Amino acid sequence: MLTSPGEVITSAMEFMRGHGTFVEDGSVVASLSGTIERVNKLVSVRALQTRYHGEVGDLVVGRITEVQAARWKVDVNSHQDAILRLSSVNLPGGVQRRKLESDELEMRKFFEEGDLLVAEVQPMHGDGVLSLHTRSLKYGKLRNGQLISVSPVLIRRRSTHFCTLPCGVDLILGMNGYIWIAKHVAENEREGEEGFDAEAVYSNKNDDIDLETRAAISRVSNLISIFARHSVPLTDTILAKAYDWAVQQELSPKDLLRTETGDNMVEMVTALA
Amino acid sequence: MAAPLSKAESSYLSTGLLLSERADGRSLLDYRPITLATGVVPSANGSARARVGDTDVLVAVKLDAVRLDDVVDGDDERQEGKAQFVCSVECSPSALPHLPTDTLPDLSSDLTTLLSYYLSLPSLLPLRQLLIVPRRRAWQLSVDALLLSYGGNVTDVLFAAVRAALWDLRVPKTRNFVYDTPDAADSALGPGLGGFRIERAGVLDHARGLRRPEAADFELEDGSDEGVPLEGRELLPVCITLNLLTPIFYLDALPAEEACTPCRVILFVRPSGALCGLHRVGDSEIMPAELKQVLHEAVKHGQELAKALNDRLRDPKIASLGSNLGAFS
Amino acid sequence: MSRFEPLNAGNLRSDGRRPLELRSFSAELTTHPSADGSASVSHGLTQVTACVYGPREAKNRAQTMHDRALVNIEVEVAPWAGEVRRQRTKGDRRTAEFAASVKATFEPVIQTTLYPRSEIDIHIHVLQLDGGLLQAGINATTLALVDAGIPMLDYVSSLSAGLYHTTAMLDLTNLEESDLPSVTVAVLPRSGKVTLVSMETRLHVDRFEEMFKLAMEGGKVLRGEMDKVVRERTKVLARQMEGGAAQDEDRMETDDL
Repeated sequence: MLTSPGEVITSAMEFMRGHGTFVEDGSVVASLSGTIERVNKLVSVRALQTRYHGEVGDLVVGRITEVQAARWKVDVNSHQDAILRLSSVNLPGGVQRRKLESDELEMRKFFEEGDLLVAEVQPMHGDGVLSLHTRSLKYGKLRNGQLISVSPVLIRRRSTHFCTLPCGVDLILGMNGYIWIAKHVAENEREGEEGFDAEAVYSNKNDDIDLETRAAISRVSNLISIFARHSVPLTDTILAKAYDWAVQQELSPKDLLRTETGDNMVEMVTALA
Repeated sequence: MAAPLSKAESSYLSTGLLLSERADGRSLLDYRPITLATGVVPSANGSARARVGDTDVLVAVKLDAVRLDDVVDGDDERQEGKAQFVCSVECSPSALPHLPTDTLPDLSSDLTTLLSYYLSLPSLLPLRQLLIVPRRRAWQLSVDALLLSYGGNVTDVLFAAVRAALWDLRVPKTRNFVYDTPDAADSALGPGLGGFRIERAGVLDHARGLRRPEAADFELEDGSDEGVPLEGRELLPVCITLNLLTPIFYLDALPAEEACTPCRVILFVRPSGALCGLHRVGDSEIMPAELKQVLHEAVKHGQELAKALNDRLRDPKIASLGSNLGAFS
Repeated sequence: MSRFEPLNAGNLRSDGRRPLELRSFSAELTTHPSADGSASVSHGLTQVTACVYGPREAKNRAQTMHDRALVNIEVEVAPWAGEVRRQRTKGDRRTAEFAASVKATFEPVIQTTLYPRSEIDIHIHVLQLDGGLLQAGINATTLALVDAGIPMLDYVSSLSAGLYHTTAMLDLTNLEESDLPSVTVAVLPRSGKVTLVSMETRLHVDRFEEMFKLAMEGGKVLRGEMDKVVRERTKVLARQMEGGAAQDEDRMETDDL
């Protein structure tokens, strides 16, 4: 059921108000345009377009906007930048945390403005600002690929947001709508040997990437754009299907830029889903 | 212009470009699909909207009949031989939301200068057609552009829209006449007809020192709402921006590509292949040898672009799509 | 020059409308996909678009408020929008007043307390003007905010009203605005609460109440029109998000639970 701002949904005596609603004169009133959701006695409205609302445990892809003392500010497409504290990142054994805390230049050796990273949302310190950590080896600086940005509503919560498509492309679907598409890196390569190779983890240098992989990355990027334009939720399953379809149709990455081709693809692939 | 990229992203893109593999799979010389519509501002004499990717530019051209004495310095002969125009390019804050609003005026002013340069190119605007009463009255064009949103390659899209708006332009038909004043002592004008309106093409020989008759003026021709197209509109130069990343160059850059290729050359190319303008953007220097190599190929692409745009404009289906300025397709 | 006749012998206005008849209204959402929300609105020949960014990290931290979001309005009037070509000058008094009015209208309506220290930027473009600038600007902004998923207490619906002798008229064109005393009203239709009353001319207080009531009624009608456009768009989006599966039956739109 649909509703819009200012519409009375139900009585506040029987139901509790959730996100997207407010109470006035004993009624629960919508503040957003979207679909009404009822879970037991809780009524809320889900908007079909919104910026990212972070929740603990979410996987996000973010971009460093500022380097401050002992922390970084990260753009995650939310109503405020998130915070990544120095204490929340992996540092090489020999590095003294105390030395870094007051030295922003030293901090830039790890993350600097413009850098992209994948992180997890950890419990926040109140006032709604998201706090991130990159303490797992799966997380950290991103390289070997390109970013594409879509509306966060198109990313559904799944058990894992790290996927590998059959075409040899790694995909990180950030809950905040930032998606990283990169050359596939095998699990074992990522973990590294014992010890923590800071140079490797924080390196800005890409590996050599062959043309075939680059073409695959472009194809995936264009497919995501098409789905986003048609507001189709993104999952690795649907992307894999779309990729197969595109290959079957012998479409080059740039063929996917044409509107008719895009429309066609969505029709065919969503019918198969 | 674009938001900052990480070093890794920048390197990925540049390496790809050097291998002719772009982020969206296009080849170095491919343009994204260009959408054009004309007649989008009904109150203007000519208008157009051009969209490439997320870059969206709206241009309106209006004509005002001005007194040449008001706009031209009396004895400046050079100016007399030029068509009169004013122009502006505004970048709306929503086009570049990640930029602080105080850098927008710089961008707007750079583009306005470029537009002014284009309109001043020799033989671009047909002086003869825009003159109403020689040395007295002329049509002054106002060419105003609005950048509604940014998705890379603003300059090419801007000039595609400007060309289309000039293509859409209709110059009203006029008829000149001359008033004779009662005490005109000018024997060269013939016997004074005192207060009567005489229809005559009013060119008077200034140099012979003859006194002009008073109030040479014009009127719009009855029954012609349409007006005539601008002369030479098929010959209007196109703008093609070369993004230089030695040893290659590429066209129609995405915002991320523009961020990692600061060196650009803007060419104005006539459909005939003549290069009529060149403008460098960016801080790095270009070696003449580099430029020479790419110019030949670039001009060829400019010609193709011109032909494609002209063909599109000639298609009657796109003319006068009306004033629906909502979602544009 | 012939004298402009606001109302002729047959009680019709110069554009053929009856006094309380509104101009043709059209609206469209998501006209700028790269913004968080956007909308385009036209009342007759007046055409305005609005783009919304946010709530997002403020560019200027010094101006933020610790307990709510900051609402910024920027206005851009195209040089060709009015009768005479006019280049926008920064700090133009009329545009500044317009921006301030829009800001004052929306600040109490947007639930800014949900987003402390952040910023909501609204950019309004006036593409064509034939009277009703404030009205169109407010309506476009309402729709752009809805498109962006920013919570509000209600739609803000705005309409201009004028008076010719004893006859009240709604939705004025440029000619009418220049000639008649007029007022622009912005209302929250559900509650009838008024968030803006703007007048630049003088009007007798006896006449005011009637005009005001009529503008409010008109505002409610306009909300219905705007809501139609919003629901249509929401329906389409909801359907697409279902994964594009063929679900062509209309979803129920009743509000009773």
